Amino acid sequence: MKINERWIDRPTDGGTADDRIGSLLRQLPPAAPLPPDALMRVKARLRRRTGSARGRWLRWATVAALLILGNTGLVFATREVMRWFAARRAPTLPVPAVPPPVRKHASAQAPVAAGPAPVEPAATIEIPAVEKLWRHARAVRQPAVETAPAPAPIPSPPVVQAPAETAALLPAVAAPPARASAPTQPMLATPAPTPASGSLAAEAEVLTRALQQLRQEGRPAEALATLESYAERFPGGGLRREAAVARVDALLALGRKEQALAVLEGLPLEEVGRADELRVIRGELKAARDCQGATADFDRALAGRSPASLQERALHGRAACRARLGDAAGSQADLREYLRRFPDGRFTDDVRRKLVPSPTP
Amino acid sequence: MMGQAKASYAPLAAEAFDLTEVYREHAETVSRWVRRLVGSESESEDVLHDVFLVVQRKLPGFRGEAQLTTWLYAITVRVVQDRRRRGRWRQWLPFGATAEDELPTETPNPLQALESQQAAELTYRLLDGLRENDRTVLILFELEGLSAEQIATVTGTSRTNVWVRLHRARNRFRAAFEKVRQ
Repeated sequence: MKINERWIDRPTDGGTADDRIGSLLRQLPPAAPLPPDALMRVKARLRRRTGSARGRWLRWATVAALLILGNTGLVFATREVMRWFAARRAPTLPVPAVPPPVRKHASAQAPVAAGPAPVEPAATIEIPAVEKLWRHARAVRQPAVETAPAPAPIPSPPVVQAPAETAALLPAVAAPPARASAPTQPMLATPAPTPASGSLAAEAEVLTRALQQLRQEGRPAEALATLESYAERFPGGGLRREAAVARVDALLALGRKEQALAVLEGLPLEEVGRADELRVIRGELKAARDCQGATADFDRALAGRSPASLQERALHGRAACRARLGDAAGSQADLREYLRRFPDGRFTDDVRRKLVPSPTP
Repeated sequence: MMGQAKASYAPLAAEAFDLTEVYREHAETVSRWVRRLVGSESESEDVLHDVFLVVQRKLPGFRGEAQLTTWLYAITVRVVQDRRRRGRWRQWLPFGATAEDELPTETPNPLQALESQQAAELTYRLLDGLRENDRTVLILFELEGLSAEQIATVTGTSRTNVWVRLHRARNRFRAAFEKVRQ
């Protein structure tokens, strides 16, 4: 059978399958049009549809408006519920003018097998950018009724002990004092808070609570739990780096230095506040097992414009590390530099003991 | 056939196309195409409605580049194919019962009517076993008498493609027919 031959044109008396199919198709009745009443019904349906086109658009517009209104209401309700929960969990906000004294954590006071080299806590601390952010969000949301007094400085975190005994000269690792001079600019580099940034406000609330627990109430374990809940609720949160820094503080306060170091090593220090201070802390933590890496951190802290207190710690730490690495001359040079710059420093006695008197000509 | 429909209609100027006019002129013809392609009268009414809904939507954009009948035929083929494809999914749903086959029964006496009904029933049952595109090509070629060029125009494919589909459709139809006879 040719391709352009039709079955219907096959001979009627043939015995092939194509012939039989041709016979079958020839039995089919011609396709008749639909009866007039069916055509009239279709016409009427088309007319109704044309007439109802405007009504259909109105229905869609109503549905869209209801969806938008519903979503807005849901967002508003969610925000209010979160505020209510936050208010229940943080009843002490706003921060009192005179903060209670810091209660040192038990584990923070226990010696950590190393020669104790306690570092006095910082006297004052700048309000973290996170708290500023949260207060700003509150102020914007409640401009007329916000009469709370201006927040006072929050006390510093508890003190922790020196990292290891192996190096006699190693400096103390202190919980970050977060002095007033500590830079906070990078934290504020995140998008400016607006009343619409409800998620950011919620993040800031949780983070503020953690910082309160850590710095005001002296409860680093609870602060850590709050930070865990922050990480679960806001895995990619805009304040995750600030949360990581707070986590470092809490872990140091609990004496969990290895974990603190692990967090610090995963943190881009350039992008967080207190970069110089965190770098020095990282160096001090590394010094127990990686003096090369620690020296690099100390070098960087000494090369920058970090505050004198950090320079002091970095210089002392570098001297210790250089001694451990066999660089006696470098270590002695650092010790002499330390005495020159910080004659009344907190490591002065230790430095004097380690300093070998230079031979007189 | 499309050729006959074409001859009976002189294309209007672009601005003269109006749904009411088009419906009045072509509803019968389109309904015949629909019945042939669908094979069920009860479903044909809904399909015809769907076809003219598409016509209503697209008519303002029709500038008379092609014959109106060709344009209508193409829309009809597409609507039927879409509807049948949707129907294939619906048949798996518990509430998506397909329409029962009501086949064309325009015959003079009861005996012929019965034979015609049985022939049509078998033919459409075998056609339903084909792919949708192959089914359409086979109906257009064998039952509607369109040429390969006309089918290519209506279905928006090439002539070669039409022959390929026709060849495939015939083989499958023939195999299914033989199986039924045995």
